[in-house]
Amino acid sequence: MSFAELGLAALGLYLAVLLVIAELARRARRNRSPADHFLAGRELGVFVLFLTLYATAYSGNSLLGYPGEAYRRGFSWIMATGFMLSIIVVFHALVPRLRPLALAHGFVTPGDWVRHRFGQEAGAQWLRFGVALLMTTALANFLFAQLKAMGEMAEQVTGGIVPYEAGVAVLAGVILAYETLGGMRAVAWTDAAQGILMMLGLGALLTWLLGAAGGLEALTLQILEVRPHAARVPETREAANWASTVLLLGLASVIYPQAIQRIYAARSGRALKRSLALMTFMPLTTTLVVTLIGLAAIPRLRGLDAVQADRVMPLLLEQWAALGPAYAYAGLAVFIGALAAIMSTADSVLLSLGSLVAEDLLGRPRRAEGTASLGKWIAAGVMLAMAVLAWVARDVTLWGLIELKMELLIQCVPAFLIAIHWPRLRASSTLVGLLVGTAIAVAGVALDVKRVGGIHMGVIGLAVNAAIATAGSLFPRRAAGAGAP
Amino acid sequence: MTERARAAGPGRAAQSTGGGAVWRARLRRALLAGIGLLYAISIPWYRTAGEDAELVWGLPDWVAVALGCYVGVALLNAVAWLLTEVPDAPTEGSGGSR
Repeated sequence: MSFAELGLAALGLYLAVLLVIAELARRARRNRSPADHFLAGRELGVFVLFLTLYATAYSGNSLLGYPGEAYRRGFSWIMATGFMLSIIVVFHALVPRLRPLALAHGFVTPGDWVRHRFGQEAGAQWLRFGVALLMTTALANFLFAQLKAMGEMAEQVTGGIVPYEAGVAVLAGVILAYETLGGMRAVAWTDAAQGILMMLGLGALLTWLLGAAGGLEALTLQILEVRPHAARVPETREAANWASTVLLLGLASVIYPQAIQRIYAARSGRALKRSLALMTFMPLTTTLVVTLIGLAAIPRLRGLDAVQADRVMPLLLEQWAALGPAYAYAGLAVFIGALAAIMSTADSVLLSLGSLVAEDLLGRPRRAEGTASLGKWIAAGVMLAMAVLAWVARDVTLWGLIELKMELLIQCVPAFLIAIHWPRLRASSTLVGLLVGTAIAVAGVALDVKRVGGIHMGVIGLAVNAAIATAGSLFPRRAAGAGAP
Repeated sequence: MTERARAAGPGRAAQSTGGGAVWRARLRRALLAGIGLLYAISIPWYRTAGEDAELVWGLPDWVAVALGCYVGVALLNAVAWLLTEVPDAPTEGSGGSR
């Protein structure tokens, strides 16, 4: 049996297992309420919570985009380990305050916090809408990136037996099926299995790459032969971009709707903090590993262009598998692990999208069954739209998509991180800040000015956004009690 | 609850019942400050741009410094999380809610 046929068989088996888990999760559900469907009845313990956080955080971007970016940029991509760590650091500013409020007031969506915090204040309704719109756009972008990554992976590893377009369609259908059947419970259980596979697979691939290169030092010397400038101290602009990327990813990632919903879904605060303490080591076991894998590709795969660089991981897997049957099986384990990581992120995004659009964007009341099923229909519609987009817009780099998403999402930071610490923050000034910050980020995209002096336009937008939100909140109100909820 | 404990940080105040809680809150703050310092050191802004690097642990020296800092961040952050109280019920003044 060829590697391509083995890949096809492994893919089929894996998808069948996912559907079985989904059916088990459906049978385990307690009722048809949104809290049960979207938050698994708020009963995720340390182990499952940790693995679902892990599998959700490390996505197709990590598995395909980050090796591609390490291949393109060289050693300075060590910054990726730093920005993935910064997410767990920035959670300190959100989790201890948001979690108890979420339990006390029954939050299900990120918009529940905004509704609770700003109540009926002037501008609060538009602020909720603005936050929900930015989050929905960011999630749709994220879903698109995952579908593109799934299609690439399926085509590469099955040697084209499953073409890119069919891979996108079939895998999207399976995710939709198990998410609809089992909700957050199915997503968390499959995430747990997928997280374990991903860790094992990446470790095996890196061991092979380092072994074949003759160790880390030998690998570095090989890279220097191909790209002598790769080891030089980065230019000032690159250092500024490093700091900007740590800020961009650290601040924006903590307000991912799916991350916020996992804060809500934890069984207890104790389980949550232990999961986060474990999560803090994952950038060292995952991001650092994929960075080294991308670097190892520099001497092995010469001359790939920007878009082709996103295929570094599957290309390396092919090389590995060609060494013999044992390597082919190990390569398949990595393939399934990588695909698992991508699918686990896509399913979490899909789950959050349903609740976010139904409740926060369309303002549907939380009537148990009606809202949950509307959320499922919306999720299906968005999945279909993004699958079509993934078919027609294949030549986009994954890192380009990540930056775009984060630059929009980061504009929601004042409504969460400042609002949760500063009672004086007003909805109206937060809304104006959000609009101006978003306009700056969008203008950067429209004018193709991604960075100024290495600093992302989204980060510049956030600085202006936060300044407007805080300065506007310092002015006294025009009439006593006006707009106060 | 003491004023110092109340000012100690998110989620800590209401849980504090004595000096141990205040000490843990202070340690947590110190760890978070240490994390900030490590991030500042991890980015080679203080090195001459374009300079050739020595190899340390098989990596260019500025990469090895960054990696060392990130290992430090992971360790400090894990301890900081274990010192953090994440209450399951709202505490006095929590959340900036109205």
